[in-house]
Amino acid sequence: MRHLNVRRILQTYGTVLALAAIAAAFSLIRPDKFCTLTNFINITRQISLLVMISLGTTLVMSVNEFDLSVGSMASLGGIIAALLAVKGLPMAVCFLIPVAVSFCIGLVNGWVVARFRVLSFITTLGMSTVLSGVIYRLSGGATIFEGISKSFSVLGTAKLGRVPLLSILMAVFVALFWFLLEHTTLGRKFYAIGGNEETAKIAGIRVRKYKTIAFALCAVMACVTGMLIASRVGSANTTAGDGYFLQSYAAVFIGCTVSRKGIPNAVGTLVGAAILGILANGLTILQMPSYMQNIITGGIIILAVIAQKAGRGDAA
Amino acid sequence: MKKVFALLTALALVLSLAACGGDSQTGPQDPDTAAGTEEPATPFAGKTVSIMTPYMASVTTNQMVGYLENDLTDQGAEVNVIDTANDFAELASRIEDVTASGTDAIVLVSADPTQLENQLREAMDAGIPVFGVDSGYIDGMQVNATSDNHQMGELIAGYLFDDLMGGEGTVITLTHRPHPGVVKRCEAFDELIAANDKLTLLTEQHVPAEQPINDAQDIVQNLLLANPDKGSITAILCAWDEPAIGATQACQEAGRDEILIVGVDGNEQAVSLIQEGTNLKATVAQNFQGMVDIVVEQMGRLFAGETIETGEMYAKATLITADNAADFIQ
Amino acid sequence: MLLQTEHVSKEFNGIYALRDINFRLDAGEIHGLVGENGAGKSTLIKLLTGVYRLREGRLLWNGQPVTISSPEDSRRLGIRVIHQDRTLIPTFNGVENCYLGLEYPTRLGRVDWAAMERRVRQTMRGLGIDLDLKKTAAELSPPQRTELEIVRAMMADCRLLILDEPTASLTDQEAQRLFRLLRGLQEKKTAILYVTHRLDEIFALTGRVTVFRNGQLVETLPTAGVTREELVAKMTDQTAAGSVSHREAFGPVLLEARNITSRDGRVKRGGLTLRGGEILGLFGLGGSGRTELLECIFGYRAVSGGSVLLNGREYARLTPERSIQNGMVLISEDRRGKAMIGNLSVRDNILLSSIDAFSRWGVLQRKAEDRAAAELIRSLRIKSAGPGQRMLELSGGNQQKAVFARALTTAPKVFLCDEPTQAVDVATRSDIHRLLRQKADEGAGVLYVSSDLQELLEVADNILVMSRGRTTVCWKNQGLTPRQVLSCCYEDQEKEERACAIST
Repeated sequence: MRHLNVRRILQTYGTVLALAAIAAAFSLIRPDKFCTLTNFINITRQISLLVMISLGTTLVMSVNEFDLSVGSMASLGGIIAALLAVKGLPMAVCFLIPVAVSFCIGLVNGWVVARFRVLSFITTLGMSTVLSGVIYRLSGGATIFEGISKSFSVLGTAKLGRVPLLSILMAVFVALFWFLLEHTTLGRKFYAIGGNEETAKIAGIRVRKYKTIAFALCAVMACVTGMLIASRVGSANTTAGDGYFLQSYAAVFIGCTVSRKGIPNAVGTLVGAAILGILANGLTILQMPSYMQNIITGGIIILAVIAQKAGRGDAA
Repeated sequence: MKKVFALLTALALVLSLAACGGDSQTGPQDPDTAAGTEEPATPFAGKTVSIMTPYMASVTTNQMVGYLENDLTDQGAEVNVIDTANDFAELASRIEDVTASGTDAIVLVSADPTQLENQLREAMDAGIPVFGVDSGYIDGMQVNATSDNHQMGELIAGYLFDDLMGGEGTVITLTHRPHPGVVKRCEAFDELIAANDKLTLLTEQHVPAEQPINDAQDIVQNLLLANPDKGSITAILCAWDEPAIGATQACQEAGRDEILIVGVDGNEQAVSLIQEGTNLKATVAQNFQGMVDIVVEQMGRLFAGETIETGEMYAKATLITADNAADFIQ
Repeated sequence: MLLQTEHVSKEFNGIYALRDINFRLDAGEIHGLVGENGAGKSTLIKLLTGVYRLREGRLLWNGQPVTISSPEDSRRLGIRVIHQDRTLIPTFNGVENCYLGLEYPTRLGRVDWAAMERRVRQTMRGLGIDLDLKKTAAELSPPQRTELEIVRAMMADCRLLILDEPTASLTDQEAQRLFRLLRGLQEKKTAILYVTHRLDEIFALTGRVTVFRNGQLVETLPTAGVTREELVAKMTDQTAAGSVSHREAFGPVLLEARNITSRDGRVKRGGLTLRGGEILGLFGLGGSGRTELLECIFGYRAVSGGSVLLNGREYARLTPERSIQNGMVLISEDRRGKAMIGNLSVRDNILLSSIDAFSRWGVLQRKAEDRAAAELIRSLRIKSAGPGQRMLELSGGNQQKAVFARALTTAPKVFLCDEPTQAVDVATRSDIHRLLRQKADEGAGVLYVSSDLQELLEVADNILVMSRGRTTVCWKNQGLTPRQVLSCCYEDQEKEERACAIST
């Protein structure tokens, strides 16, 4: 009986416990450096971009699809925004046009996947390549820096008191996506489609429409993230988003283990990104060489998933 | 519906291929007639040169490719630029492609030839001369024109240690050792640090190439927390400019103006930060035009039928500080 | 004695699925195992086949204690199982499927396909089965797939063959063929454990029958010495419900399908008329297109011709969404694949078709949802740990009730029910029959598909026959015999040409 309880606890809270354990370990080793308000604020800012792009990924995974174009979508968002800024357009326009563009690209992704019932894996991989081409065409392959006004960097660098605007944006988006997935008809339909597409269709849910919406929102989140990266560093790199692509899937997968049903969810995604972020933060504070950081981070991702699986069921 | 779609796709594909084909053939399709016209025949007339790089996103690589493209096109060569966005395996396949298509020369830009040895060997065996700009040299290649990265590393580290730090203090290095040029700078850093007892290396951190500014910001922010006292970090030595920019932004945000930062490359964003008097104090400008000049000259001699000396050739680099930064802003 | 279990128990999270089972099975007997859903039949099978590990009690095999800790152990003893959901690989052909889990013979280092085919043919001859081994499993009909599974089970020495609801997707005729096969095996001294909800089959086939109830073994007794009613009484605490009333007069036409043709050709010409108050039974052999016809009418399967009249409006193309809006629901035959979402809660499953109804400005009204779900759970007597329990943790019968609960949330006037009592327990079966009759009495129309002819004759007012993708004759269910209906299914093309005419 007792081991069964441990199982259940592991299964439900294993990932959150892992997060707490990692944080506790760093606090013990470096209480003066790690366990401070400043560092906490730091971590929230450092994970903010990953969390935002991963929230979009969470939506697409909630309808049981993949979007492999989020990385290049993010890069494209940054490039377009920066190019518009160079042209001297008002900031609102610089940030809104890419959002509109990404929404359309997401619609195309979703429409192709839902209408022709092709694998989203391949479709979005194709789209990713198309987007890289578009980025190259727009930027000539170069980082865009010259002629970007200071106001372009406000979103990415501003602070309210001690708290970076990025951290606040992250909190707002997590709350928004949590509400969307848990408390709106849209979220309920996403989960129904993700749970069993055929059942959802027979129950009268318009699967094509909602899948397309999920892809569109995912692309928008990737684009928003890309623009914020550009705003934060003050220039737009043609591959700026690429590094987030795999990390975002890692965050969502770890996040799935937070839910008892094992499905993608907003809070889980935050926890997943926080695990990755705290590891990077803590290990750098320990001045651990980069290769050790990679080994430890990868190992912990694998352990988190195993722990969840082990907590599940009786089947041999 | 599906059939119609498939048909349209196929049609689009055919048209686009036809269009591309048309483009590439409008040039010197027939070398004899091209050579026979009124233009004085340069050795480049009718030659197709393939410029290949995995790092087009980098400002400097982009600059070099731009210079190369200009100079070669001016000389009358047909230029084919190929970028594979950080993907070496893809680059290897594309080298096979251009070899098969019978290009007249390959110029590798910012890519380590040892990682592409098999494909390059195939090209060289097919009689295609291989040049490098800022790449590296392997046997069988013609010329690799580069800055002496080791010398650049010595130049910037020496300036930091001796002139800025007064020969003592604590240092953090931000590196990226998989890059063939960058790793030589890092080796120079290592040697200089090892040679001076009064210098302490706090930590070396690897910065990934996709978004170096952003990542360097995070890394340095965390390191500032680990070493919160003013003066606990004297300097941050960066192997190229993008992490230096990120490091500078992190220091500015944390209000740590005492930390000295230097980079290498002469990137515009970096130069303007130097000019503004931020933490970023100096960088080394590679002489990209100089490198390109070397390769174009050597290639011309080869096309003209001369024999050329093979191996590494260096273009001299210059130090940029607040004093001369204005000269490097375009 | 071939197999004996001594004091075998199995618990999950503190709840006993099996408690103190002492079960005996002889070589060469066909032994029936009956019990409502959740009685512990599947758990016993999973213990015998090494899916679950035995922790309490012990197993004796030919009098010797054995441990079965993996499916391989079970196979080695000669235990084979044929599941309700088939375990063939759809893209593999007959030979490849038969060799699943067996070592491929090789000659000169290459797979010896000829030898493999010889061995499979030999096994088939021994069983009197004739199949095209070149066809992939996906290309075979449901009864052929069952036969292929039996061939596979018999490839190596088989001492105990367990069949779990093997006739779920078979018609009576096809089931008869299966029974002949099983009797043949019995003569070869193979023990057969036959698990089913269809009591007719128990009486037709088995020598002894064991009854499970709530995880306990009630009794093992000779089949000859027990009546159907007695058996049902042992399985349930309540007595079986009597057959439902049949109706004479009907309301207005609710649904009319004309000349439906499906794009994949499974339905060639389907037509029917359904009136208020009517339960129309649709009977067809496996592969006759009955499931497909329902899916076409509902708008789930692509149609290439025909039209549907619903609520007096004609539709060339319906979508599931529009069907539901117009008061038509589909209870799919494939419960796991098309009717439920296992990973979501019972509540979410019940409210799946009415997500928008319980929302304001796109925001879910959780309290109203909970009330509605709880109400349906109570009125349909769905046994669950609560509305938040995951659907896949319910027993089959309760899952099916939840599927019906979902249908009821949209207040439908037309029910398209495809095998609604497949693999559910006796009590749920009569609950479903009663529910549908009640809805019909309230003015709804029910189209009821079943491959259990007896069941159709029990519940339907009229019976429509479908054969080779075409609807054929329609009878009033009065003095109709199974033979009459069946014979029609086998009659020739000329019958198929005849239009569906209701004799009133």
